[in-house]
Amino acid sequence: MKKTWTASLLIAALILPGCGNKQFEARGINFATDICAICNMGISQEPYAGQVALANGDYEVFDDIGCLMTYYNKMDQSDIGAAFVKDYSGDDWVQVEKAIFVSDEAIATPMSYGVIAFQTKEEAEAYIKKEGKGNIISFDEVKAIDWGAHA
Amino acid sequence: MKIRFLFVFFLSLISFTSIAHADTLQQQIDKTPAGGTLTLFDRDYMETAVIKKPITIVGGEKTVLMSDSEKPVLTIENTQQVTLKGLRFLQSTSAVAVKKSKKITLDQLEMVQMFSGVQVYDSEQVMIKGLTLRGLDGQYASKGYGLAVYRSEQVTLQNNNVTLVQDAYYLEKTKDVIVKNNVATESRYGLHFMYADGIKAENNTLQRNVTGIMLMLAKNATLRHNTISIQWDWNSSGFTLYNAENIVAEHNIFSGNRTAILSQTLKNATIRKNVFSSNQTAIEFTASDEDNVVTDNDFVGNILNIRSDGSDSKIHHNYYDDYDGTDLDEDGMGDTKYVALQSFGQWMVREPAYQYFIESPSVVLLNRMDQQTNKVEQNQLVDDTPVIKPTSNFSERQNTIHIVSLLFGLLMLGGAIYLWRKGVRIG
Amino acid sequence: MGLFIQMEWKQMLRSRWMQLVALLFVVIFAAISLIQQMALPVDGFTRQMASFLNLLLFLLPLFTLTIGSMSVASDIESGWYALLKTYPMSIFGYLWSKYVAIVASFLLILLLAFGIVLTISGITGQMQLPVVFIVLSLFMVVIFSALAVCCGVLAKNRLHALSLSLVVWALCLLLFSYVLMALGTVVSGTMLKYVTIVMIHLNPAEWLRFGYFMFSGQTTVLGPAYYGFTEFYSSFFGYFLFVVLSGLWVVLPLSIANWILSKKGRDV
Repeated sequence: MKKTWTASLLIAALILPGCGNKQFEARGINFATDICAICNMGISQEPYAGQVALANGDYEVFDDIGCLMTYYNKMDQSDIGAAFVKDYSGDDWVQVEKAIFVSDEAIATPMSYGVIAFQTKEEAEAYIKKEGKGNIISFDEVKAIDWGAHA
Repeated sequence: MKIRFLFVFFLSLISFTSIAHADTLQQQIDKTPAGGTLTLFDRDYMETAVIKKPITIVGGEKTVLMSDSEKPVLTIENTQQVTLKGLRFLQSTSAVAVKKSKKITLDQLEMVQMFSGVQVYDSEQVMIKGLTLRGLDGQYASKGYGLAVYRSEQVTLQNNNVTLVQDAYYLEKTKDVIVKNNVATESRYGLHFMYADGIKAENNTLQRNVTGIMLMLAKNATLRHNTISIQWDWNSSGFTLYNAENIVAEHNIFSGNRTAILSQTLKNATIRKNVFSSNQTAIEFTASDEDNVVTDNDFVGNILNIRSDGSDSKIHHNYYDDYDGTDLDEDGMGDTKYVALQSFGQWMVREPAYQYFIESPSVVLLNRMDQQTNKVEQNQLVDDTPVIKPTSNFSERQNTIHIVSLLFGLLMLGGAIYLWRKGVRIG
Repeated sequence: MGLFIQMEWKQMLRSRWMQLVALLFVVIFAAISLIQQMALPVDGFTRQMASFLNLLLFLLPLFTLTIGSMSVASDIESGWYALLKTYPMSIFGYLWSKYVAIVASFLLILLLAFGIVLTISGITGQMQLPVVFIVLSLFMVVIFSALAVCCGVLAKNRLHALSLSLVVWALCLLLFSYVLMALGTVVSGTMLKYVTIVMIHLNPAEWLRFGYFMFSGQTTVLGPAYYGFTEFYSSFFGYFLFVVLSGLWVVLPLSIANWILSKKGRDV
């Protein structure tokens, strides 16, 4: 009896703080266990990764921005807490709404979707200048790409 | 006169070879006429070279090629009919790159402690056989691909053995590829196909990788007679078929994998005459797979035979070792249907955290109850014609007496009986 | 006290129940080791391994709990305990002897059963008994005997002890898991994961099952969601912690029993 009580108390203690938390933060990638929720590939290259923090506290990670957007577009928007992409340097998570996207078919990404993300416009322009390929597109344009028909 | 001539001849020979011996690899290649054969010296070459003409390069017994640059040791570019044979590569970023070429043969190459092995870009009629490659230790993210082929046609990979790399065999946007008799172990993916059309993968052995065959956005593939065992990592599977079309998987043997075949948005696939033994899950269908057929397979000793998230697939004429029906009319097929559907299996597909309960006491009991209630299941994961006898032969074990365990057993048994009797008697 | 333990042991071994249980175990283990021959030569968590593990998890706690608790309850019910109190023996001394006797007799049964398995596998040359299973059964007997003593002390009579131990058994093996699984349909996956981890520590049966995966190096079976958790326990410190926590599962029930009995003693 005692144990059930403790257990239910613990459950309550765990559940309650979960509610009403509206600040979504990205979590780190665990290379040993994280796989893309869409294509099942292991996540080995951080610069192309993405993730969604779901409203219920779960996380889904993606190996390519294309996979992220496939998931993003098919989900009910109210279930999505926040969506993040890795900055091309592979260091920081950037909210999709704030990120600067660069697209070109010639950019090699894990799933060959050819879209990468930057934190600032300057970095994106520097990349385009250096690599000689790609053009900047907005998040709305990224959303509108027909990701599924890519194959 | 004669002697003098001979002397000069030998002298010139010696000086010629000694000069040639000092030649760089590139100089040696340049000196060989187009269509000629170059045999390398028994020494270490520490450089990179480019091949732009038809040529055959053969390695000597002690020839070792390496380079500390980012570039591949040998680059074959804009040419055709190049053959590399019996070369040994050591501790380099990459051994061979083939770019925009035709009729290239790589034969019996050996690579040790390499970041990556061979890259083929935009080429045709490439044959790689008898290659052995051993990569680096450490995280998959810090390694390269073993044999990687991009945008090429008519590629054959045969009798190769690759271990300790990220993806052993990687094929992207390829057409008409044959992958035969290869071995891939201890890597992330054994065979990794992306955007490929026309694949034949036969008689390959894939062991202890994260995933045996990763087939993504591919169509028209035949995967046959492969042996896929012990893909046992956190997210492992024997085959992962993602967004694939017209796939035939037959006569494969899956044993000891986490999930033998994991499929997602799979269309028009036939899975037949395979043996699934001792896998955690034999087949998993997710995300509206269409027109897939599972037939004439043997399911033995798997924890879960088939699970799905509700996707439609046809299952018939398989053998299941946990089928408990009878065959009174002796037509070789069970009289009642086999229901593979398990509530717990379905939950596990949807929510990975349920995995903890896999085959736990409570779940076993649940499955028992399930089997009773699910007898009425009509549509999902039902085999109307389960086969009574397996098609393959499992009785290949030898029976030898194990002396040590017999002795220990008898000792324990005797001890226990003695203690018991003594315990009862005192007092 | 040594004499008392011996006496208790004798009584245990003489009881019809115990002999029946011993017979049952021997038959089951013999059957399993014969069935095992049909198993495929693959290491790891196969269905055969799973059923073996489950059988252990189901049967061993069931018998330890019922027999142990009934033995203690009958002592109290029959006045034997009251008689013993007139001897110079502490309450804890009594509980401890009882506990040792129960553990010892069950270890004897295990010895018998494992002896059978090894003999059969020796003759057929198949299936060695994994060491992990032996260790696991030891842990199981040690932990559940303590719980049995606790149940026996709590009970008013033998029948009460039986029902109480059955309740504990059902809770540990089945109900906890079902509650968790049901909970999983409501809360998020991450939450389910945390609750499951908490439950593993609160439920001795789950704790031992987790121990099996950990010590047999098959933590990947539990799924990637538990990566961090199993990584933590798969270290030297983790092993140490596992043993310490398992020890707590022995000490806690015994001291609770001690406390209850001393309180009861004052009331009587």
